[in-house]
Amino acid sequence: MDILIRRSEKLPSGDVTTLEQALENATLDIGSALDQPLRLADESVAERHASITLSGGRIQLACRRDCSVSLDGQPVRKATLAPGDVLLVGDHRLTIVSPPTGFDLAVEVSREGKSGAPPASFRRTRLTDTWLAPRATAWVLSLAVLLLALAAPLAHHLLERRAPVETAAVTNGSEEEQAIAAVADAALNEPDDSAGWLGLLGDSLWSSGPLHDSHAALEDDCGACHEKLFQRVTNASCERCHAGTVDHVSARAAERNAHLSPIMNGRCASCHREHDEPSTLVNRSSALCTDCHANGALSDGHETMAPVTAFGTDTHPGFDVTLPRPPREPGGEWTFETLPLVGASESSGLRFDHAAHADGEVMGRADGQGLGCADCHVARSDGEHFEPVAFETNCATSGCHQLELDRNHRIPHGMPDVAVAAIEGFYLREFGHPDAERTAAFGIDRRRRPGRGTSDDERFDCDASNFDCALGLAARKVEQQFTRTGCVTCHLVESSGEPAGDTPDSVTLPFVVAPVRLADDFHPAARFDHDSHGVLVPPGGGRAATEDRACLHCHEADASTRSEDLLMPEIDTCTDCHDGLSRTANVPLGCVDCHGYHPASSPFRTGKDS
Amino acid sequence: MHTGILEYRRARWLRLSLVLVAASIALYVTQDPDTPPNGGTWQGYTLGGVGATLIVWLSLLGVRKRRYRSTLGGTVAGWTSAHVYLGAGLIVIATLHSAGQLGWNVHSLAYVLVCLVVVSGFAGIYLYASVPRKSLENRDGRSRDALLAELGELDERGRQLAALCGADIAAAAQSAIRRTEVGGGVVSQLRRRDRSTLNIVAEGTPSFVENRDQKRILALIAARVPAATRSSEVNTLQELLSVMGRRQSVVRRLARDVQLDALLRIWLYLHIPLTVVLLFTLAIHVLSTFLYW
Repeated sequence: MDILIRRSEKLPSGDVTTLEQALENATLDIGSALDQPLRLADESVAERHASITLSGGRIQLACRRDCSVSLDGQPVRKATLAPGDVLLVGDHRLTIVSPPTGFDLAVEVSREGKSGAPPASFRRTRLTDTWLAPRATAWVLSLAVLLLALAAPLAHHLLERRAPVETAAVTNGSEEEQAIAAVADAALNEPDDSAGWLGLLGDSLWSSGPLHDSHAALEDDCGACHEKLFQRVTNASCERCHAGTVDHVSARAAERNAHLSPIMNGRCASCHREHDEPSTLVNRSSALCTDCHANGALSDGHETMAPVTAFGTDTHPGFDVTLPRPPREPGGEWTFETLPLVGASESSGLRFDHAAHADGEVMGRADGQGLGCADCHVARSDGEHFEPVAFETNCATSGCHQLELDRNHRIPHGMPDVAVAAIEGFYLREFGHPDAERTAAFGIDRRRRPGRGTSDDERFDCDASNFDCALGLAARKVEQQFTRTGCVTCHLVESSGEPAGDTPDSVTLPFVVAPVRLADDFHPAARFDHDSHGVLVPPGGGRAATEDRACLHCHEADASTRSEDLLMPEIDTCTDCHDGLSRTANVPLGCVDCHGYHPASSPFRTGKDS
Repeated sequence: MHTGILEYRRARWLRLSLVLVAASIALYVTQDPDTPPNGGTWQGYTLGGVGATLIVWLSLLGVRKRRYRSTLGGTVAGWTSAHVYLGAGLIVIATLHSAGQLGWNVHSLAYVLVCLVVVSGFAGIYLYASVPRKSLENRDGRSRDALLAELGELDERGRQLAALCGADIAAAAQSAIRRTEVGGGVVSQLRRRDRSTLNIVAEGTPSFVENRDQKRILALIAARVPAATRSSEVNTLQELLSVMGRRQSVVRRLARDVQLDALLRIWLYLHIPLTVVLLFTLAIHVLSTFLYW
């Protein structure tokens, strides 16, 4: 059939254009697809929506599945049409008109809907018609963020006037004075709050997390550490307060260690990271140490270190021990020698038998018990070191070594010449009385020495004057003390090579007592916590060793009879429980569990003799 | 058609996103166990870099889809599919980068914005998957303009018929037509609130009464039918009743269409502005990290 399609389009100008199109086809298919003879560019029209056929002079409309058109306001799917009928298909109005000559069917097509303005009460039917303003919202919020989170902190930083800082202003004086001066310096250099209203908002919005409690006072003072923009926190910032802190053995001597990695030559912040949660402040990672120390033959030009990869068997070298060595000449200084622990021996200047003191029978104490470790070794509050063992506080207590001459007289300890004078004085007093017998009745020496059943004193006959007899008796006593029993029991005594001689002014001793010094810290480069080792449980479980048994597990004092015996445990005692990083029947140790990166330098830390 | 973006090319972007997330988790767990995981380790910086790149790229969809016919980086469907899956992956990557360390600062603001934008995007996917079908069913394949045009015709027919009735019915019907309300503010659109009223004359005083769902006007007309005396009046009233009934149906569809249309778009009013704020916040986050290095 011959079909005429007449399309009317309303132009924006208001004019209407009409386009006529003639085609010959069996049916007039209507749809939005491009191949449809009557194509309606309309999203609410299906690709194939409906078709119109002419059968027996009747115009038949048939819609496809799920489609319908509106005929006189009613949705229909099938209909017989007559000229004058108006179909609404989506937005389009299709009017069937009487076909002109030569045509079987004529359809006028016009766009519907847009022209008819919706009722006034339908003004706001889209979200775009409401107060919602996404663009404005975006810009206002963005501007607020820019102001609060960029402009304000930046203004605060730039406007903040910080007094120039003199690092470590006190260059003389002890480390303690320097540290205190540095803290005072930092306190005086409080930032000035004349930073303007924008700056007053502060720069805390840039903080990525809270500071460690020890730095809490700096929480609102970012500039204390972040001094320049785009510059990482410098060591100088840290040293404004931590002026007394000494770096790692190698880090300071830059010219000597230029070859070392930047971490070694170091940024404080490499290990001390702030703004983390939970705050650790100290990076305890062993890798920070073993990155360098795992290498063989690490040397700083003076000493060569064996490689360390972890604490455990074959991964950590055997222990060294630092021991005091007596001065080479009288009156000289003690020196310290660091040497491998295996085979080392002490030279404290004393004789001491740990085993005997721990033996109840030898001690002969009323309770039949030997001495316990803590009877002499009292731990200090640091948990690592012990109060020095001293004659007065440890040996002379409990009436063991009182150095008695009689009930009222004792030989003073620690000063040989005074002791000699005291002995002479004692005998002069005894014999100086006009009625004193020439023959001394002995029994005056009642010094009690555990382990010695009888007195060394012998009968002493004297025909000389009382004075000479007294001196003679005193000389014998002195000789006995320094060579046989008494001083020499615990001290190393040598002959001075000079004859004994007395003047009213001075006493000359024929003996020299070796100087005494007990080691206070065998491992000055390491830490150890005796408190946490007071209960020792065998790896994998079992009966715990406590108190003295815990001490003796590592320090074999019950088998030591000589003071030269070094009672410090070797590394395998430690690796029984601390062997590598395994957490099964093992307690893993990191480097910083025993070692400090910063050599002992704190004015508040004591007991390190390095 | 709207869920096609999820299955685009057998969900190739889903698979890529899962690989990215798995790689990010693997990277995260390699952080030094001796310090708390954070955004400042090399793994943290890497995760942050990947996250920032993703954010910038994801926001470029807004540019890309406005150049629909462009061939840059594949089709818009492909871009949208990637946008959905990589955006979902971003929430994992951003969380790993933050390492759970949140506070009152610009860094956490960026993280919270990422979460809000992605979650609003999830809402968008759900709405895009469910609303268009309902909307099409509601409009019965027609456009809103067609419904409005039909309503316009019914309004006109209603007014003409009303004019033939008694004065009270005429006033009520014509005011009901005039005072039919669809849409309104944001809440009215979303909750399909119907504020339609009509004007009746009770005891000589005109007053407005609610006409929710056009029920009152229909009841008014129906009540008058038995009281009509002339057959022509009965016919007119019945025809008016029929027109107003069809009108009710069209108004319902329009109101529902307004609601569905608002639902389909409301998430974008969160998604898009917050994305813009996020881009600024992200820039400040990165900048401030290096300003206070």
